[in-house]
Amino acid sequence: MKDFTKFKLKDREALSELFVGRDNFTVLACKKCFKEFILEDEPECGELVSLLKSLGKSVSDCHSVDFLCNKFRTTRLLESLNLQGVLVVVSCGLGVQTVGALTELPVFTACDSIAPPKFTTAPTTSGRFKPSSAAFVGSTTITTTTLGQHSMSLVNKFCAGCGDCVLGDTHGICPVVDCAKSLLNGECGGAVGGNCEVDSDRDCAWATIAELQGVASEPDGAQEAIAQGDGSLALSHLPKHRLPLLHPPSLPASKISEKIRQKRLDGFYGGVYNKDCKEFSDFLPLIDFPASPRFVTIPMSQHKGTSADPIVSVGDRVKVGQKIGEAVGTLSSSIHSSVSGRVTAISFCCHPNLSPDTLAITIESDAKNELHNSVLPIGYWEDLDILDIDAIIAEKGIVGMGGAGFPTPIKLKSQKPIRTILINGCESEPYITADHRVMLENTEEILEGLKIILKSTNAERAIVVIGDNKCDAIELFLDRTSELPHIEILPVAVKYPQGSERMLIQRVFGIELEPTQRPNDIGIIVLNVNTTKAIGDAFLYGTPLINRPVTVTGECMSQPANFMIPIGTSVSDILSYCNVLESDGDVHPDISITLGGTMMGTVITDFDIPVIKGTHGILIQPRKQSAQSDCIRCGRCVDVCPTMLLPLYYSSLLDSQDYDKMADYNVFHCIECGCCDYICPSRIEIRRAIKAGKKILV
Amino acid sequence: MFNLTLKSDNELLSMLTPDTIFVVCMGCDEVIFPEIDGVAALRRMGVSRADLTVVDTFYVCNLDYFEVAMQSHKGQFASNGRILVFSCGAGVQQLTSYFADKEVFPACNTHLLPGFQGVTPSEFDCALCGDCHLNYTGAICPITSCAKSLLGGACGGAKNGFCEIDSETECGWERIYKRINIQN
Repeated sequence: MKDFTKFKLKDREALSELFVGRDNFTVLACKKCFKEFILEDEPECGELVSLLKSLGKSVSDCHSVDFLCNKFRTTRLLESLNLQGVLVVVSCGLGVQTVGALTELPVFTACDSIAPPKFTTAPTTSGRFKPSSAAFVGSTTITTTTLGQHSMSLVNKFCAGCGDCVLGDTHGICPVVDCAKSLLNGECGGAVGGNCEVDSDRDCAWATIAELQGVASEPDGAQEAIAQGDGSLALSHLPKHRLPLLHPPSLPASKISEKIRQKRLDGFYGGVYNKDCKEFSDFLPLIDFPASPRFVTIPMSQHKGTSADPIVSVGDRVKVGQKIGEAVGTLSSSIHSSVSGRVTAISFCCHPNLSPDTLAITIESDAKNELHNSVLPIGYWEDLDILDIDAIIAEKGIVGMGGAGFPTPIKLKSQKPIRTILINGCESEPYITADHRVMLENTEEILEGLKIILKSTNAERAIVVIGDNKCDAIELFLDRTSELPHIEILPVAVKYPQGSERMLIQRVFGIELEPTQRPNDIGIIVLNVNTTKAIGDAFLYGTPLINRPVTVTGECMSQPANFMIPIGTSVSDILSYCNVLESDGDVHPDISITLGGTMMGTVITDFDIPVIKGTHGILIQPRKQSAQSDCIRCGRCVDVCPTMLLPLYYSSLLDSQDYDKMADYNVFHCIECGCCDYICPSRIEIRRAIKAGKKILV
Repeated sequence: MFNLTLKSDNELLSMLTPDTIFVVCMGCDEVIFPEIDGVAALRRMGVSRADLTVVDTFYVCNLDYFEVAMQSHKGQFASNGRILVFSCGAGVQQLTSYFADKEVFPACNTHLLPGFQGVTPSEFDCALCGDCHLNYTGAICPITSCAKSLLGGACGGAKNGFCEIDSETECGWERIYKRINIQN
C-alpha cells in the first residue's frame, strides 16, 4: 500500500536546539492517515521520547492519538488529559495547528510536513514561499510544494483542485499537475525527447497530450496543432499561467469548509446525509397485508429481556388477540396471537436478530380472524388509576417498535421523575416509510396514546419530533394538536441517524448523554410513533400488539407497498405475495433481501424468518458486489461516527481476536447505525465486525 | 480536501452526445459533492431519464469498485459512446487511464479546500513545505495564514489586525504575535 504520511521527524540537531532551556514535556503523536493500518503505535513517538530522555529531559506524558486534526475529538482529549508543561506534537501541520488553537500551553512541533512522494522531487520555480527576511528563521529555501492531492482510494492520480477542469480537452492528462510549470496551452519549449527539462524521468505532459491527439509535438506549436486537429478543442483562449492564478471557487475555500463542517455538526456530531429513497413508497397508503398467511410463527422473544413462557399447547384453538405467551420476570413482555386458528407446534425457529434456538409458537390460521373476548375497548381511561394504565400497557404486550424492542411498561415506570416525552417520528432510515404512513393515517391513535403516556408518567409536556422531509405529517400534527397545550410539534432537519434516541435528545435539547446514562436519567422518555400508536390502539380498540406496519420496497420491487402485517408472518409469505420468490422458493441470484433498512438492516438468506414487533421494512434490492480492500486510515468513519468512536479498529481487532481491546475501544457504546459502513472507501464491513465482537464479549 | 461544482449548463450540453454514458461517483459525495446532483441537473436541462445510461459507483478512483459497478452496463461500455464523469479530477484521470480508447469528459470543476483529502475539512491549512516553522510561530502557520506567505513578520499592510487583501482575513502575523504572548 502506498504511504502518504505527511510528516517526518526533524533531525536530531534541530530538535536538540529546540529543546534547549525547556523541560517537562508532554508528547502528542498523531497516528497518521492515508497509510497502511497497523494496530501498533507509529515509531516516531517512541523515537522522540527516547531522544528527549537522552537529552536528559523529563517526559511527563506521551499519547498516541488517532487523527489529531479532528478538532472535536482532540478537544475532548485535551480536556480529559489536564496537560501540563510543554507540548510537543508529532504530526503534520494540521495537527499542530489544531492543538495550538486549543491550548494556552506552549506548543512545539517535532516534525516537518512533506508533500506526497510524487512531488518531493519536483522543484518549484515559484518564490512564493521564500522567507522574506532571514532574521527570523534563517534563510532556508523551500524546495518542495504540493501541486495536487491524491484521490481517496490512494491511487497515483493527483488533482490540483484548480476549479477549472480541462481534462476533457487534454485526453485526461492534467496539465496543471503533470506539467512542471502547470502550463495550460501547450509545450513550453524546454522538453528534450519528450521529457521535461526539470527531470529527465518525467514525461512532458504536453508532448503526451499531443501524441494522444495524433499530432507531432512541436515546441510552442502544440496548442495550435490541437486547435486545428479538432475544431471543437481550442485552448488558445487560456492564458499561460500557473495554478494559483486560476479563478477561485465562488465561495472562499474557508467558507466551504465551514459549511461542510456545520452540516457534519448539525444537531449532533457525525452522521451522514444519504439519499433517503423514500419516494418509492411514501405516497402509498398503509393497507392490511392482502394475502392472509396460512401459518404464523410467533417467537416468544421479540423484546429485550427474558423470553415469554408459552401458555398454550399444541392442538389448542386460539383467537386473534389471545395471549399465548406470558411475560416472565420484570424485563419481559407478553405475546399474543395475530390470527385465529390452531396451534400446530411449539418449537425452535429462526429469528431476525437472535440465535436460531428461540422458542416460537406456530399457528395454522383458519382465515376467520375471530377476535378473542379479551379484545375490548377500554373506553374512558381518564378515570383509571396510573397503576391500572400501566397494567393494561403491559398486558397488551407493548414494546418499543423502533427496533430495540425495549418493553414499554418498564420504560414508563422510571425511578426518576419524567418531565418530557419525546415521540420519535424522524424515521431517518432510508427507504422505510412505515412510520410516516402511520403518522398520516393513525394520527388519532398516536395522540390518544400520547395522552395516556402523559398521564402514566406524569410528564409536563410531550414533543413530537418529525423529520422535515415529512411535511404532510408535520402539517397534520400541527393542525390536530393546536388545542392541546402539552403537546408540541418539532420539525427537525433530516440527518441520519436522527432517529436514535441519543442523537434525538442531543438535537432537541442539546444535551449529550454519557454512554452510561439513559434518557430517563435526565427526565426524558423517547418513544417511537408506532409504539405510541400501539398504546392508543390498546385503549381505543383493546387490541394488543399483534400487527405492525412494514414497508416492502427497493429497486427490484415492481410495486412497493406499506403493509400492516400480522406478527409472525414469514418473510417468504411476503416475498411470494410480491412475486419476488421464484419457483424453487429462493430469490433471483441478482437480488438480495434485507430485513430492516439499508443502514441498520441485515441481509437475510433464510426467508422463514418471521416479522416481529421490531421489523419495519423489507428491502428487495440488487445484490451488492463486494470489493473489500484494506483500511487506508482515511478517518472518514471517525468523521461520521455519531458516538465519536474509532470504528476503523474493530475489523482488525476482530481479525486478531483481541476482544478485550475492542471493549477498550468502547465497542458497547456503538449504536450500530452503520454510518461507518456507508462511508468506508475500502468497503470494510465494520458493523458486522462490531456485532460479532459484541456477541463474543457478552 | 476537495469540493466540486458542476460545469455550466452550456458546457455540459456541449459535451453530450446521444450515446453518452454518465459515471457518477458516490464515494465522497458526503463531503465534496454536497449539494449538487449532476444527473438531476441534466434532467433539468431537458435530457430525459430514458436517454441516460447512468452508472453509479462508489469511489470511482478505485477501479475495483468501478469494475463492479460496470458489470451491469457492459453492453453500453462496449459501444463507442463518450463518458461524462461526475467526480473530482483524480477520478476523471483514473477513468481516462482505464478507457484508453474512449473520450472521457469531466462534468465538474474541482476546488481545493484546506485540510487534506478524507480528513475533516479543516479551518487550518498546511502547505506541506517540508520545513515546519510552527515552533517559532505559536503553532500558527505563516505560510498558509499570511496572504503573502511571509516568514519574517508582519508586512506593514495590516490594518487593525486585518490583512489588506480582504477585510475579513486576519493578519496571520498579528495572530502569531498574540498567541506567542499568551504562551510566553
